[in-house]
Amino acid sequence: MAERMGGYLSKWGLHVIIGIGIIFPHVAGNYWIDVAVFWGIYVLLGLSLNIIVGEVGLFNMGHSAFFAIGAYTTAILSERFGVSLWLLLPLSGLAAGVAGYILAKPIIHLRGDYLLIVTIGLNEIIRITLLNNPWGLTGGPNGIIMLDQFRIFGYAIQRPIDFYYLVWAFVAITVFVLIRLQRSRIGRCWNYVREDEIAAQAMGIDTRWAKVVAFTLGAAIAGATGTVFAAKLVVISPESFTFMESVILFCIVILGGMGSIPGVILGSAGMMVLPELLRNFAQYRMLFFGLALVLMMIFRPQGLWPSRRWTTILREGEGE
Amino acid sequence: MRAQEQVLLKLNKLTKNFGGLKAVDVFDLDVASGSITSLIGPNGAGKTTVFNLITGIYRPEAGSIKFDGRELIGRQPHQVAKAGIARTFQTLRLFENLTCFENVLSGQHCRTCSGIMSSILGTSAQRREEAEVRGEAERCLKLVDMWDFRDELARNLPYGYRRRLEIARALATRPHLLVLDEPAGGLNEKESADLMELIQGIRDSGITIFLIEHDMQVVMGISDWVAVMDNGGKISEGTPYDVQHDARVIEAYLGTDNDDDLYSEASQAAGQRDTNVPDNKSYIGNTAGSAGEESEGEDRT
Repeated sequence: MAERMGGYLSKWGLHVIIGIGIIFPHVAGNYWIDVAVFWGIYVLLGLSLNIIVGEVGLFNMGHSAFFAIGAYTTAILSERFGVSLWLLLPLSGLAAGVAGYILAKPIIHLRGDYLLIVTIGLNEIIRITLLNNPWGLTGGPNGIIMLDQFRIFGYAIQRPIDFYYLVWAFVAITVFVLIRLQRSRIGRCWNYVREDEIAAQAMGIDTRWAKVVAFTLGAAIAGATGTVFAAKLVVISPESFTFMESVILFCIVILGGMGSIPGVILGSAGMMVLPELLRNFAQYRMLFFGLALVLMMIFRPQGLWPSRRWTTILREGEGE
Repeated sequence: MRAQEQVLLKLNKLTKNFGGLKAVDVFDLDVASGSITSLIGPNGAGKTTVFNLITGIYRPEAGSIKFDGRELIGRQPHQVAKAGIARTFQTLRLFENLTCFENVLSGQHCRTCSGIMSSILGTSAQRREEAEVRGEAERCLKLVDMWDFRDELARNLPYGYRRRLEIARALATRPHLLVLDEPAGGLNEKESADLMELIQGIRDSGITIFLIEHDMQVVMGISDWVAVMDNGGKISEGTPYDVQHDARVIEAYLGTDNDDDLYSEASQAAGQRDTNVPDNKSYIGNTAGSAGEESEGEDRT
């Protein structure tokens, strides 16, 4: 794994970062540990959206819909049927993945801004459906209170420090999986579709299939993240899944650098941690934030950490 | 002699209209296996449209396209590629932000099968396939003499190399038929000569070549068979020598004395009107050009 990250960081740099990550919750207060937990959740969401927006170039600005489907699946099944969260993790992923597949199929041929508008609509449809409390399932605007936690041999993971390790373990697994995919036939074909769809087709790539797979996988990861989010937040309500959330996720991918995994991690830090650091400025917070975004777009439009092409030298492991 | 050769690609009564314009009009052509066959014709004759029909970007109104005995009409472009037809584009369509190596790897996609799970788990079958894919990409890049550029982004390449990279990428799909749309377009004399050598080398390796070209030196130098198109139909075909001496071809390219006589007679008869009479041939050529040649399937969806 360390060797595979070689394209981004030296092995040494990676070890230092992992070390800091492990020590951090022992020196930081609960407040900052919580910030790091939410950072981790947004990294997961950013990574899932990065597959769709960054790797394949499909403009999806309704991603929190899939996050919502995952969170509500978890909350409903846990509260009504007492299903274990470990089981709900893949189940929520599956539910969101199936939803993503069904929703993507008819709209995936749309390009650029057209797709963007449809996904915004999708987001709103899901949110309003949740608000309307269909069959008394979603609890309307009040949402659902979910008391269950992830348990390891009966030990409930609910202290911030435990949750911190849980979330970042999920991040590590997701990063590992996504790096494997990036370096594979599947990840490459996503990039070909992003670069030039007609050329990709002429090379024998079923672009429609590639796009639907990416959309489904992105939705599934967002759905599974919904389980983690539900466990952390306890109360799941529609206001967590607004259009604004989707915009933030979209910004994470663009800010970090499309298709770049470290970019997403940095981008979510920019969107989640920076506002916390600026909290002292109270009402000027959003102003600073907006200014930072504008400056970014002027001076570094390719993102904080743009994705690097993977060269044959790195591929053969000859240097770092 | 030609009758004995095996036909790899058979176009039969192919017709494609864009609105009221017949871009390709009942077009027949056989491409012999192992040959270099060229399709020439004035701008707007419908050559690129024929290529787009073969590769599945357009659907013809009528006719059939038999490749190795199998019907291609109704297949998606990626299925055509998988069936063994690779193409290059008149206006280059490289994956600009990817390296040359990655560009060439794309051709291997349809020849491999590892899926999401095997990629994540890194199964031994997947690793073996990756090694094969890289070996094949290396071979294709070396074939066009571009191995030294493997880590360069496609957008940073000089023009001549971009053309070669597109050919390498097409070869990576391991085609039976390579369809080249103006491969010598924009190349200088030296580059054209190298390209001719490359194309002949590819043919000698057993891949049939079908190309559109404007550079007559290239066409006449390497083709075994030349077909001439004008206004959507085939006006002549034969060996390069035959075609060069066919009166209809000369007429299509240059017009005839006869034409001029008729035109001047007509204009004399029309008196003042002559300034408003457009040259019939170039007029048709231009319209067909804007509808058929330039669009390249861009507005398909």
